[in-house]
Amino acid sequence: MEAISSFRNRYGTILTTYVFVGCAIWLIGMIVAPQLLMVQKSLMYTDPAAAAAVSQTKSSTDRLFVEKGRAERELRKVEADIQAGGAAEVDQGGGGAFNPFGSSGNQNAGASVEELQVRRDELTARLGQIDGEIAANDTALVDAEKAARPRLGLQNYFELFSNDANRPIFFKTIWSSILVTMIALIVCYPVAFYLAVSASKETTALLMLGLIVPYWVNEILRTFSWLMLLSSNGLINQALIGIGLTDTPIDWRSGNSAVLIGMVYAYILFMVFPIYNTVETLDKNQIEAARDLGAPRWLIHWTVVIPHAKPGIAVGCIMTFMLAAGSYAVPVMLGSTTSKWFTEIIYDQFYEGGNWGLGSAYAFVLLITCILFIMMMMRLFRVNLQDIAK
Amino acid sequence: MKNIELDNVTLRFGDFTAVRNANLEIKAGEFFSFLGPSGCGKTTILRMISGFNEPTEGVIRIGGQDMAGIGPNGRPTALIFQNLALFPLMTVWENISYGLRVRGKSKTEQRRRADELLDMIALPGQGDKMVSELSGGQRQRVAIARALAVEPAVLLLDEPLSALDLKLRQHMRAELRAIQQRTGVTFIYITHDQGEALTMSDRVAVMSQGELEQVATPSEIYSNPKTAFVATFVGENNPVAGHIVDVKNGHAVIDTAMGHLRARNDRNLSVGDKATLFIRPERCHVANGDGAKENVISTKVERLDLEGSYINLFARGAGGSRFVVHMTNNQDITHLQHNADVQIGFSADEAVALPATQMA
Repeated sequence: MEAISSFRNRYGTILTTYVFVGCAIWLIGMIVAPQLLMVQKSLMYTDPAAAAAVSQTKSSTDRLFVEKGRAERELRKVEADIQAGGAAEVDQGGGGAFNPFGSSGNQNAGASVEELQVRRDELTARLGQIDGEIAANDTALVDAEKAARPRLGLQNYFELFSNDANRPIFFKTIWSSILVTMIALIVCYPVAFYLAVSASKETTALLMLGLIVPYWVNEILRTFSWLMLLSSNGLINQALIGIGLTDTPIDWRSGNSAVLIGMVYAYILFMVFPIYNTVETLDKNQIEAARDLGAPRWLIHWTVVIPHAKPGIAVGCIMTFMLAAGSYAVPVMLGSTTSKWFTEIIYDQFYEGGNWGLGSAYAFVLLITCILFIMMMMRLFRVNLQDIAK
Repeated sequence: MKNIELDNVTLRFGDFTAVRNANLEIKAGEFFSFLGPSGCGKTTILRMISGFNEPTEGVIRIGGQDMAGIGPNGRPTALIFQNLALFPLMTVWENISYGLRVRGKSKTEQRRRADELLDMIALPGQGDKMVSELSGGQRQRVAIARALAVEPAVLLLDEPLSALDLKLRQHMRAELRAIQQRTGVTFIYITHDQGEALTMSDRVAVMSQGELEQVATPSEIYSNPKTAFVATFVGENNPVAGHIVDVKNGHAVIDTAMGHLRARNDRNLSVGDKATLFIRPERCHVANGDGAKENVISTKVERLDLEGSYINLFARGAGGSRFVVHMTNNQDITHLQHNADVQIGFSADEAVALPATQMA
């Protein structure tokens, strides 16, 4: 309250209201509520066997209703034919009637009244049978639905670790995201250092533009251009074959390499900028001082530049890791069935499997893992949130 | 201990010549200062000696060895930056021993040497503090210790006192001089502050626009300036413009708007040369019409400033040229009213005639 009133004294009522209401909407509506819903969903467990039983029973009932409809239609026709004193030679409609004997066409065409009467009795008997089966299904469905009702429990979370198909993909996604982060760091640190320290103003502006322009193209197109480069008859393979390094095209996409390359490229900017920003604030005299005291270049980086740039490196790593772990478009486009990403699994749970509880649990596990990664990075780089905010 | 030679050193940045034909020898163990206004090229000379810039022409030798192609990390020099450039993320002792760490010395050795140097700079037991916890003067001394830790033959200081307040600056002057004498390391000191240069240095090089104007001891610089720039940049001077009408016995007679004046002719000017006569304000006297001095000029009093022990008399002579006289505050000044006529006298031996080149 005191904070609000002092804020209001400084900035006036309108701005204060705007800021605090905005913050509240952001915090509650965009962070807390969706996450809580997600957690709630993830804690609702549906027994897959029971769910399967429900859908089985339902589809069996559906089938029975279809059969019932057809039988009733045929019965009406047979009765009409009996009244008319025998069926017409050629049936004029009512095609697709109930066919218990496996032959096609109107099996009653040209039948006598006696034959039609036999058929009528058959149909009546079958209809009675179907009603019985539907009633049985209905009672079974009540029990099955009771069994399949989502229940509170942690089973959704355990499911991931007992699922032999999805668990390896989860760990592979985490490990690959770490790999992407490390490669991006190795690629970006020299670039950021060069931009911040060595390059002239014009070169910096030009290179910055070069870094930003690809981001004007949307992610799908950017990734697609890599697909063209990396496909088996793509530019890279053609070049490799052209200079005779390989005879057969390299299949970049079956393993993780295409996905890794695509992701490093997609998130380079998020690594370069934080590092650039911190290195830029380094007093360049410190680099010269270290050099003057006899330090070789690598040692200057290790003892002077990197310690100073640590918050930027941490931010860059965190952003790249989060983006990589949560990436969807790149693995979908550049990956193959053997290089699935965990986000694809989550997507499948929501939109293919229809199991929102399980999807939520998967998503939440990914979120927790990412948060753990952030905390680990902050510990590793010995930075706190304040440093990062700077 | 090594001497430093600059042999015809020139450095150009594109069309701009930062340093032109510098010839100089700095002796081993000397406290040597480069003095000049900002942009005169003194920092550039320092950066060339330390190896951050290579001369476009000429040779720099340290201890007789040509330094061409040797980077700053390979030279027996250590530079103290204007902003000190201490490493803020390291403790004081880690800063001091950085050069030893680079040279692969053990941690205990590093710590031992750091503690030694901390004793020397009178900061014993402060090694575990962070640099940010120290005061300006303490940081200054840590920077010196860090540079001395690598036992350089030459210590280069780039206006290291400019960020300090006046009191501390004066204290650090004495401190620097003491450290230099204790260690015997050659100090090369860059400053635009003549007080610093004159009080601390064995010799001073005065620079202007990339050129060395004069290299001499402080008293020589002050008493016998070689150029109009030195005469006016170092200390105060009254310039009187004119041309030479007579030379004899090491003296020249200059025809000025205030009549014929005599001065030393250190630069061997000849009759007809344009020349400027310089006389220090404290070497002038109010002549009170006695005419005993060799040069007497008639002026009118403009203003009197009382400065405590000194009184500054501002007067205007014929041709509108201004004259300043520093008088000790032990004489009668009642007659020096505004617009009063006053005779100013000075001896020919204390005035110097120099070629009429650019003044500071």
